[in-house]
Amino acid sequence: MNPDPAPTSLVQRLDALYEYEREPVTEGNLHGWKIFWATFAGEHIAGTEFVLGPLFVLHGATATDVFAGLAIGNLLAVLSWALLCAPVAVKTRLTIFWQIRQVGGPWLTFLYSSLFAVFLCLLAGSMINVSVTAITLPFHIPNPGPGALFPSWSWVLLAAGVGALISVLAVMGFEGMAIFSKMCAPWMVTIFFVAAIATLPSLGCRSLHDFWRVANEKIWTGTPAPGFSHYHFWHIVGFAWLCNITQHVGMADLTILRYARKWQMGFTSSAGMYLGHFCAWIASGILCAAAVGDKSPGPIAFLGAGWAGALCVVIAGWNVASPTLYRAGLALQIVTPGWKRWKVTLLIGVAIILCACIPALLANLDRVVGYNGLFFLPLGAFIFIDYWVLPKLGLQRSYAGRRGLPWSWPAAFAWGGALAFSFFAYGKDNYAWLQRLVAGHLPAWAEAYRPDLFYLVLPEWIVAIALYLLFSLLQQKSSRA
Amino acid sequence: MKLLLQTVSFAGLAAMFGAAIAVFNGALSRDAYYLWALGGTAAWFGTVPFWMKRRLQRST
Repeated sequence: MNPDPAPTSLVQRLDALYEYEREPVTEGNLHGWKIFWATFAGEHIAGTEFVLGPLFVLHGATATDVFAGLAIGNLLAVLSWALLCAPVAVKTRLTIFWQIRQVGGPWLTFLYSSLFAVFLCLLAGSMINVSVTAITLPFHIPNPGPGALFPSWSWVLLAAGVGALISVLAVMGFEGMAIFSKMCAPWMVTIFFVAAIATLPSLGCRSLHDFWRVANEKIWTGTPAPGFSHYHFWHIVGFAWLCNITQHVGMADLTILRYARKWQMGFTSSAGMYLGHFCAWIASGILCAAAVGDKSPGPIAFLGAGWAGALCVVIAGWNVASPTLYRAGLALQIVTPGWKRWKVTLLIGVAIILCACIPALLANLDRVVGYNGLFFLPLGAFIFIDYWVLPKLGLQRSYAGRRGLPWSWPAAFAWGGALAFSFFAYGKDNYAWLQRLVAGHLPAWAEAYRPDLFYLVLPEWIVAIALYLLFSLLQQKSSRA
Repeated sequence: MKLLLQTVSFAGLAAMFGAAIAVFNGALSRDAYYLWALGGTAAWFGTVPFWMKRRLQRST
């Protein structure tokens, strides 16, 4: 008789997949400050930085918008890690998976995993796109512009080759790639800095006194490039906060911070934010402004540091694509019963190669990241409220988990409600069909409220917690009655 | 030995910084700077696998 039968139902498969992460981290496995400084610094200096920094230049932000906006937006991100995510992480010491499992039940966890895998495919695809923009350089293959619908066939062939190689590496040696990624981090930071320093003279900046004038006149001019909307200060603040919102407000970094000895270690995220999302974005913005013609990551890095810069783009893209592909495989494994791990990962490899061939993905990466953040943000809000607020109201924590419910209707409806709020608030001014539908039917205050995607973090968080609190109250009071 | 390898690694990065600052000050051509950047890269990757810890944090 087999004492440990194979899991059969979807929920059993899901639980089996994360079985080794079910227990809280023990005292002996906790880590000190050093590893968190290194982890955050390494994780947030990557291929995306070559894309996001230039977008502020192309969207016509001013130098003040960029410097002040990034300073404040990144501060909000660091505070979110330190004050929202880290305290829950060190109190519970469980992964995001088990937190959502307890708060939302297994079906919501399944939905979260599946949708997260889709986003990870888009992200990995965009990173292959980043790598290929540098690999094309020795072959003199033109990179597709931001307005292009489809790249050339030779470009697609290169993307297919790179995607296939990354998929094979992810299957055969994920750990090796992760170690290689760790070794690359200090060198990549250096490349960003030196490329920016060496490029400034070509923009007319010959001394530090010139910098601010050149920054305003040549780099962040306040005039958007053709086809790009105009970004202002609050766009930059909102985007810097929203960029990693899945990790901090959305609580995905519970998985990392559960190893922290103290909640104050959440402040080590400042290494990633201010090196990666401040210095590296500014550096890549400088490179973009100096580039003539092709402003893709590969050519601008080549301009900044020659072949070392081009190599940096290739590695930066690979370093993100490989673990992302691995995580997407992990998330999708639950819906492909009986499939070998390598088969799932290679299937995702095909999906990310297709995503890599969509030029609009890079040109709109800030929006893609924004949609992703707003989509998963409410689940983090529920975890936060579930831990800190529900007991103070006399309600039970982890109600779905304790009762063995397949899904938590308060979490499901609050998630849907918060998303519907953001979709409507943004869509009524940006989606033509919705504009036509609501024209003349909205009260004056709703007409006057016109938030951009990047302004919706706080409103959506408030709507999410308000709905979750209300629904939890209804659920638990009615079950007692 | 480890100290020597670490010295070469960080000297490679420092050389890249030095070359970039020299370009900024007009003391070095861009082509020469590109070679320095490539040399610094070679110094880093030629030495770092021999001293950087190969142990991964379990959570990641």
